[in-house]
Amino acid sequence: MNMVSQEHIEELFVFTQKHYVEWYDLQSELVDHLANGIEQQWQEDPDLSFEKALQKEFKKFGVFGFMDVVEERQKSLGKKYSKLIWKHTLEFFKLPKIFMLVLLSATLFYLLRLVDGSSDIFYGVLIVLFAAYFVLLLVSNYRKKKKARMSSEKSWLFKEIILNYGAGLGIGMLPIYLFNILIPNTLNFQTMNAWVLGALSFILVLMGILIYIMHVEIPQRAEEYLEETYPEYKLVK
Amino acid sequence: MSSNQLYRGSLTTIIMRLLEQEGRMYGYEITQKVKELTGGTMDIKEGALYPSLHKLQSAGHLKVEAEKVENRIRKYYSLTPQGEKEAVNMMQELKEYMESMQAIINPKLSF
Repeated sequence: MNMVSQEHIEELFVFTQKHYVEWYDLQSELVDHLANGIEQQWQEDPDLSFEKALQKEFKKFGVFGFMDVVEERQKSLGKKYSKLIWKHTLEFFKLPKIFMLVLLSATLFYLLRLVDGSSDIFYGVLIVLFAAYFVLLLVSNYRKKKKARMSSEKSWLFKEIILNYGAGLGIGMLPIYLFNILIPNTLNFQTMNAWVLGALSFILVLMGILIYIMHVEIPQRAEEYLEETYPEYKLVK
Repeated sequence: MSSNQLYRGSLTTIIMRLLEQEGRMYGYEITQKVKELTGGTMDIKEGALYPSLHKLQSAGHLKVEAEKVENRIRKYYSLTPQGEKEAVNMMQELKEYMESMQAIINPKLSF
């Protein structure tokens, strides 16, 4: 029986790439599928050319080609990433990490109490900090993408999500408007209601923890999570 | 084929049922098996099969194993314990659906 050769397999990888499948995990599954289909066609018609068989097989994916496959994969891995963040965050509400959460919130609370002056300054600092954070994030993501494009290393969708911190997620978690609601008509932290200031401290610490989880904790365990997501990760690494 | 539209809604049930019976399968194998079982009247769209498989996987119903077969990597899907339970539920739902359809198409007339 006619088999798909190694060269053809390489061609199939290029083919998937051309059809907007950037990630190796999806590519390899689609390549196997296409190769099986082509071999099946060769069984029925051994003289059929590789190209023609491939086009015929690709048509079966419908007018959108691999787009549905890619979209669904992105969606489900994005969900997986959110669950991962959630899991890590929950750890901070359990012993022993909860001590850190409480301690940091309390520290921030007392520090803010010490601030003598308008809370507007605090807003300003906060906005500048976050703006700087996003600019850094954008630059680093751009650099990483460029580097990945240049290198011949295989790209994995979930790895990309982890290293890009779920892309837009970082921006979505910044509800600046919340502070406007939280700090009503008070110009000074020293005169602010203790409960409001407590909640403010807590939310700020929680946001800091989220950033820490996305930038430190999860990337540190990236390999472990990738192996869990991709059984083939070890096979080809 | 026009009949495909009717099948589309039951794609996940079909996948789960096949895996329940066959143990583990890869994507292409599923399309072929369906064709074989239905005598070629039903053709699973590849563009729908993989999204369904990935969705079921992230829902925890399926697990994946990878193996090197000849010169390529093949991904095999099989049911997780949670998936096995879900497969039973899905079959039950499908059965109820078929009964309701039956009742509509062939109403038992009583006087």
